Amino acid sequence: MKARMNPHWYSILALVVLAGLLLTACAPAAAPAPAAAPATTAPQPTTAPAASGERQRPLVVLMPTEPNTLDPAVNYDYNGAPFLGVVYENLVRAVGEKDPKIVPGLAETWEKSADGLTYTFKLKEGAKFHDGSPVNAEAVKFTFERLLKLNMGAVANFSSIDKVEAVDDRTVRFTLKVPFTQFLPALTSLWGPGIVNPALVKAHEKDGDLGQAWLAENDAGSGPYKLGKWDRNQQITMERDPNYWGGWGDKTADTIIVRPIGESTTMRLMMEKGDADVAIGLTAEDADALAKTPGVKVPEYMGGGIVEMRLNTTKKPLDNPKVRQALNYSFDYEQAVQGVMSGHARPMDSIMASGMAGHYKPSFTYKKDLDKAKQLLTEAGYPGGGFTLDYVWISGLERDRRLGEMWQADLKKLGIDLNIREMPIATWWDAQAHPETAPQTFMGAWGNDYADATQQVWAMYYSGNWPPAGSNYYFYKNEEVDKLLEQARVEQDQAKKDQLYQEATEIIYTEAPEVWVMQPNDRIALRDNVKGYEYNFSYSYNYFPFEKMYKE
Amino acid sequence: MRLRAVIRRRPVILFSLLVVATLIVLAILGSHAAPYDPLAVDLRMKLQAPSSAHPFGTDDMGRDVLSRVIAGTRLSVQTILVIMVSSLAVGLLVGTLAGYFGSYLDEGLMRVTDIFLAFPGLILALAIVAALGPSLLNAMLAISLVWWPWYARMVRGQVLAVKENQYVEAARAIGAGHVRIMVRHILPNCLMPVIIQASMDMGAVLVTTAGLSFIGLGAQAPTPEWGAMVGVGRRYLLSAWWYSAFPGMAIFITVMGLNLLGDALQDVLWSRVK
Amino acid sequence: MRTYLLRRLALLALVLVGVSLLTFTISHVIPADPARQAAGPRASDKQVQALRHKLGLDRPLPEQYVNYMAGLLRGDFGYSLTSRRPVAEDLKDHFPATIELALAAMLLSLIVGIPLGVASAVYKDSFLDHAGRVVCIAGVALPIFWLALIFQLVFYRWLNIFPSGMRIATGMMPPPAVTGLYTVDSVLARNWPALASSLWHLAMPAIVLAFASLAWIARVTRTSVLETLGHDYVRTARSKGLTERSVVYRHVLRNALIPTVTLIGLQVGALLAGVFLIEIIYSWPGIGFYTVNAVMALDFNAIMSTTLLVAVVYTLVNLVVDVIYVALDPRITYT
Repeated sequence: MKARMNPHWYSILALVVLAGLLLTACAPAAAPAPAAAPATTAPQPTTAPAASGERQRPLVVLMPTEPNTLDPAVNYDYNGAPFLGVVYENLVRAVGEKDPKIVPGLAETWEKSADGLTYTFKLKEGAKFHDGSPVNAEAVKFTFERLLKLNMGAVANFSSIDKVEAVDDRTVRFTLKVPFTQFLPALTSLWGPGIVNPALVKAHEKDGDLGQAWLAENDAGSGPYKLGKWDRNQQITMERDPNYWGGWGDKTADTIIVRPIGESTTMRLMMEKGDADVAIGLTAEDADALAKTPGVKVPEYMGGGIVEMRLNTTKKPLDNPKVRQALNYSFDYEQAVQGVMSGHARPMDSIMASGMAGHYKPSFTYKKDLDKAKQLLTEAGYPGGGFTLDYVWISGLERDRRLGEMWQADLKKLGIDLNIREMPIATWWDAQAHPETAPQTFMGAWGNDYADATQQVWAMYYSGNWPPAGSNYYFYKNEEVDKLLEQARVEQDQAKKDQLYQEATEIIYTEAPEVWVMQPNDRIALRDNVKGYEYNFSYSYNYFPFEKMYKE
Repeated sequence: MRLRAVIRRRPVILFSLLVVATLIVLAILGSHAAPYDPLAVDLRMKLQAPSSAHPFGTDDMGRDVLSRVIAGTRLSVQTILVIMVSSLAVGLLVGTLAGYFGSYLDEGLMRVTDIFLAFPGLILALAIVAALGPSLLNAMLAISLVWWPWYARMVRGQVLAVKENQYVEAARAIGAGHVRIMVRHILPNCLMPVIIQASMDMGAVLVTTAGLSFIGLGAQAPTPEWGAMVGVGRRYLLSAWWYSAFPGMAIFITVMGLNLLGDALQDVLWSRVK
Repeated sequence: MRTYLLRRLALLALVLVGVSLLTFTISHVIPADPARQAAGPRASDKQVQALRHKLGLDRPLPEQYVNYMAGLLRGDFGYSLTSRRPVAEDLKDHFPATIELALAAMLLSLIVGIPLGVASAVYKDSFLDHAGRVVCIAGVALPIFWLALIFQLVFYRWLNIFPSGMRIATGMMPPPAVTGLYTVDSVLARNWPALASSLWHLAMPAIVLAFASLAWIARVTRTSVLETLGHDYVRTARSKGLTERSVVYRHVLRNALIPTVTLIGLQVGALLAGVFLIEIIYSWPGIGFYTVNAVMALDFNAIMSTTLLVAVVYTLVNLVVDVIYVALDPRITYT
């Protein structure tokens, strides 16, 4: 009988072949990524208008998740911004890559009464909704009354409104309960003040839901783009409104297709190969790789959001301000920026984001100083540490996990054990609602709804804003700070206002209800042939001025 | 003697024995076998390609991937053992009771197993872990809950076959109690096929656990579990392929070794049973 | 046969009730408060309490279960937290995609697996046999999520053969939905570019998903054919002078394929489990993608509804397979 090579040795061969495949596939990864010609497999959309070639190709935008509703009075997450920004319009908008300015939107002029309680807006002539009906004062009144009645989303920013009146067809008057000084900036926010078409909303009302169910997927706006088809978890389409009352420039994208691709890797691959034109929400590594890819550019801007580690000030030992200060001196801010963010962030110098109105700087800055931390711990009664802290990060936010792992190593040197736990966001909501169940420390991020840092200060440090209704996640309470904030909010005199906020900032920074980690940069990946993009500091990287963008 | 004959017939058994031996050795040694501390963070060394200093490269926190893969061996072995033991225990209990006592108890217990078996394993485990909260322990619990019905079914079948044997009747005739009969006479004869099946299942158990961890429902950071590493490494697949590749390779080799061993065991032991 | 069928159907109903009970139990073990989740993070305690009452979550458990069952029979699966729509609508949107993928994978594994197994057995110990067994062993041992990643790297990134995920090219309109399966609908609408595009997008996920199934099917078919080939009646047929091919096709296959049929039932379960992982990696918008995202958000209505749905489908498929098995094998009678 002739000897046969035992068939099972082939299984070893399988391994070798597989390994070889792996290595050949991966070796080129060390070389620069291949130049990908924009080879879209997409044919022209069937609704191609008779326009020049540049208008015909759809602009494909990738983002991590899709919004759950596109009702401007309900949506309160960044995923809604690309749509809310161009399907709806506000009375006023904010523009500018930095140092934002307020510019007319649907309103052409406005005035504020001397006591700061009344704002009167005059609407532009000829503004129309997508169905042709005029944008008049009644529509504005309806929008805000609906917003307040629904009591969802970003309504807290508008809680100072007492009543809205349509003085005449083109004039609207807002009367406030208190002379809230940031009312005008609040109106520039993408969440809440988008003006909706009353006729459409009323026609689709069901069981007293004020049209929520219909408006979640449909369009009652007046902006340059109309909402098209929404295939859940696949794509959302927007079509240019050729009859847009504001008129059009020469070059625009006719169709925008937004795809929610959960994987940063997939987004990167699609961008490299030209299957997509714009991408946001990439990991730092993928964005870096795309920046080096020919055919793709990744502009970077100073962002207005912050990353902070919130401390539950009601739980021992975090109830002792010296312990909290020690934690602030234990964090490696440098490594967070260089190591975790690969340099695409900046450390913070205060309790709020820098680069926008409402920023105040305290008299000192926390830096990593383990000796100082040890000293503070000893003063607080915990020489050598000796306690355990819970650290929670929200599922899906890899950056926060890495920050925790980094911090864990440093805390060990102080004799503190860090217990890292992942929490799905719903579990966290539940736990955060009450001081006893809220985690001791957790990493979170904050972005302002409009470009004014005092919004954050009020939301986070005023003791009336404890969860569940508010964002004072630290359960911080300081009566002096409360008084200062209450006054500053309605103080009409800018100099006095500055003084009040400066004082409050100093106190809060010293009491350290959190660790102020960093301010990440905003990065957007764009293919080289996409023109017209402008970054808007107020609305961050989730907003696109599609009406100005086009593909060459 | 028998072993040598088996090896001569199928030399690849050597490969699987080698794999299992490595697993056991690494599991016992744990982190001590690793060149670096699997938990040591150093962000300046993050995402380095494989080199002589780091044969498997480093991960996103600068930890040595080889060390983490080695440390993960112990976790994998523990996971397999815990799940197998618990599901076998429950399966044996339920199957024996059902087969021995028959009638309503049998019907009832088999309906319960039917209900569990109506779900594809991973999916039921997913739902259970979602309910209990993501952790390696909960993943192990969930998988055990999913696995035991198979063994219960098998055992019941075996018990039914053995129950009518003469020595069982004899034992009953001399007045032996139920428990004594079950433990001393019936159980020992049922064990063999079940153990053979279990040995073939070990690979599948590991892959299922790894699958749960891959999604993020099993071991949590910074635990060096293989499936979790492949899952996290996926985000760096294009810039740092080694992060996912090597832990995945470890799973592949382990499962293959275990499967081949199970196959061989089946060969050897079935002939004895038959 | 009729009594067998009736008995199986009765059992099926019982099992399905049990399945719903199990899913109900699991969804009540959750750590998060469903009323708080539905109300959102900013609701006050009083609002949460009111919502809890409105949703009937403060009623005794048995009563809640009855309401749950009543809802299920009505087709009301509850309300999804993540999409803010009835779960039934989400399922309607996502299920066809999964079916398309699972069917494609099943077809592929049968079309490749069975012939491979038969050829392996008939040409035992040849190169084909060895190659086939290599594929089998690899297929069974490879973690499917790892294979999916490797495929994406090799076939999308480097070789540019397949597109990455999604069901159809960006910008192309999907065909009008009749079945929800893009491939079938494209044929029905005679939209050939759409057919080509959707087939191409289906290819990679289906191949990866089919890999493990294929391995099992080939393995079992091979063993079964080998066993059948050894039977007496085959020797008889051969000695009668029939060609090998005729022997194989007419006598062997019919009997040898019976175990394979049973295996298909099991494989559907494995496919359904695998599809969850594949959909995540390739961003394929089916119920696996939907469920894993729901798990991250602890959207329990969504999670339990898909789990239930999958169990029902799996149970039904197994029933069909068992019936086919009985029909195929005249030697088997089920009491």
